[in-house]
Amino acid sequence: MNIPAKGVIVTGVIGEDVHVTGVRILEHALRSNGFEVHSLGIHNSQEDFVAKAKETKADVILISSLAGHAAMLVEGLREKCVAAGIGNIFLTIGGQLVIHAEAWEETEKTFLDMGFDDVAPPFQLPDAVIAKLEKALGLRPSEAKAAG
Amino acid sequence: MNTISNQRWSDAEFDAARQEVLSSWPTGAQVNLEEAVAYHAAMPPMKNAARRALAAKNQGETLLCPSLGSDTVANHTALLQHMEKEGEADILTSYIDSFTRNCLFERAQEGLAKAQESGRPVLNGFPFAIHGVEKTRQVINAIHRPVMMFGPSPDARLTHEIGLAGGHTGYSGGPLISFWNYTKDVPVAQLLRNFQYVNRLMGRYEEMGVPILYAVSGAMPSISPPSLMIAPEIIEVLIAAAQGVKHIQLNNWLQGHLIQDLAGIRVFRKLAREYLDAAGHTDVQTVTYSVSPTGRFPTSQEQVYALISYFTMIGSMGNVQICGSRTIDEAHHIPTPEGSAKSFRNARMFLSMMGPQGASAPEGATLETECAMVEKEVRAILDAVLELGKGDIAQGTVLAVESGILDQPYSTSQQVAGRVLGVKDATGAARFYDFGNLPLDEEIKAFHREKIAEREALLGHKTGYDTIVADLTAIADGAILPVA
Repeated sequence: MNIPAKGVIVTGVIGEDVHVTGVRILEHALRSNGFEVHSLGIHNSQEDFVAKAKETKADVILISSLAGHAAMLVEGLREKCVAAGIGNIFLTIGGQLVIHAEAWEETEKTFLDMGFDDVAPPFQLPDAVIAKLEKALGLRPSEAKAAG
Repeated sequence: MNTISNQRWSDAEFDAARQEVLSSWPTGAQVNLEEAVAYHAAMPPMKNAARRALAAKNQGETLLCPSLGSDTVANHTALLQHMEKEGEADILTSYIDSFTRNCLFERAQEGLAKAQESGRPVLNGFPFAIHGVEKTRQVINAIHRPVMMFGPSPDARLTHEIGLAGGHTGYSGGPLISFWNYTKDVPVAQLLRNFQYVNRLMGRYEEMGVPILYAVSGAMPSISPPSLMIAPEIIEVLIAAAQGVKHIQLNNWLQGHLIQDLAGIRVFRKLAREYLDAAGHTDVQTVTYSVSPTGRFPTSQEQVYALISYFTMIGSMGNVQICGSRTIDEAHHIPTPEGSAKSFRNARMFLSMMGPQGASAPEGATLETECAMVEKEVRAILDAVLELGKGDIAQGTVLAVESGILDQPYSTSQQVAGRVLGVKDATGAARFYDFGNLPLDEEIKAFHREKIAEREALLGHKTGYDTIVADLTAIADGAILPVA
């Protein structure tokens, strides 16, 4: 019964965004593939993500955003994680991150520079996300797990 | 808050709740039920949505009903008049703006003020509570056809007080679609109570001689087998009937698979009647409506015209009384008056060709099997809900949501299990990829698995999340099944 989870993941949509399909199918896929998922659903702040990650000793925060305002909404998230003592947590974001048309490399760099470990391009499919997280967690045991 | 039950509210309980609701915003004081009933009684009979829909049922007509909403009295009136004259709509609607649907009346007021100053629409619908009774009647007085309120909402109590007193004669929404698709943290019991109020108010109007058409919507589909919409809709029907609602519109969500959509319409009509009669509501009358769900739509108008025609054909073959439709603007922005009118003229042309022919569903083994499966699924779910509630459908609903016996894919609510998931079969029909905790027997499960296996044979590999994602956008991408 108690097979240890592959990793603990906090998922949710940030900001006033109500687009939920993407994150719901990812949650379903992650759960079916052996991850422990703590879902925050829609309408979350950075503080909601940090608090839930700390409470659940999460390995990963996975943020979905489809409104195109993601850069504004996640600026300072890595710093908040550091302040909460979970500075090494794996941060990943995906969805429709910008409103204007720009080269993907530029968008990716914006979020990597803000402290994200991974930025998913639009239309990345669940299987690719799972493979990526498995790799990331294998290579990088989280601070929270090590401390716990 | 009392525990929920499916008993009719006592007059004392309802009157106390009304006082509270009517004093929650200044316009509530304008509502006087006796005066409102006199206003309705002075209208031409066929300006009443329930009477108009029943007349259509008796005469074998198919009516058109667009979804329409703008903010100021002038903007909204102009939109409705345009659809009445240029769009050939038979029943018009006032879509409630999203601030008002969430009882954020201050923000709706700010938006309305900006719209009034600029002359340009700001809100995505009509803010009933801000306008009040008289302003709402200004719209109704300028229109010759029935007007219904539209829009799921966790708390549409004040909107109904204003909207019904303001001359609207129906509403499309319901507690469960509002719960699955429009809330994050509101307990389902609270939504049921808010809608018992709305339904009891409709019941009062009925008792005073004004028919009100209540349209249940169940759940928004996303590759959902029809039982996932029909079971919650029948719950909404039974809760409404218990509070005295007498005219119910059964909304059918069309997902584009001809046989499965027609099976859904047929089974819903049959089981709604059966469950109503079994609960003693033999005097409740039903009409049917069909529409395709919101969501991603093709961007080219030519493709959308084909879809509007196609979904209108399914409604016509399903003998619905009322067809809704998406519009050619769907993929781009909130529909313009011109875009809506063009879309509905397209639907009208289609209905005008189909109507006299009386073409109905193509009978055959495929349709029979589909009907049999949908019916078994709906019965299994509803019987489990009734059992959980020891015969009380409202109590059963609360427990069934907790245990995932009532479940939905892609819900916005955190209180929903979210384990069920659909995928398309080889012909494009929706099947259960994950049954979650639905109370379905092995025969039903084997049927779904067999249908999915046919798709897998076609694909040459197992279905998975990537298949589901492709299925979700298939129609927007131009076909019922994803093009490889």
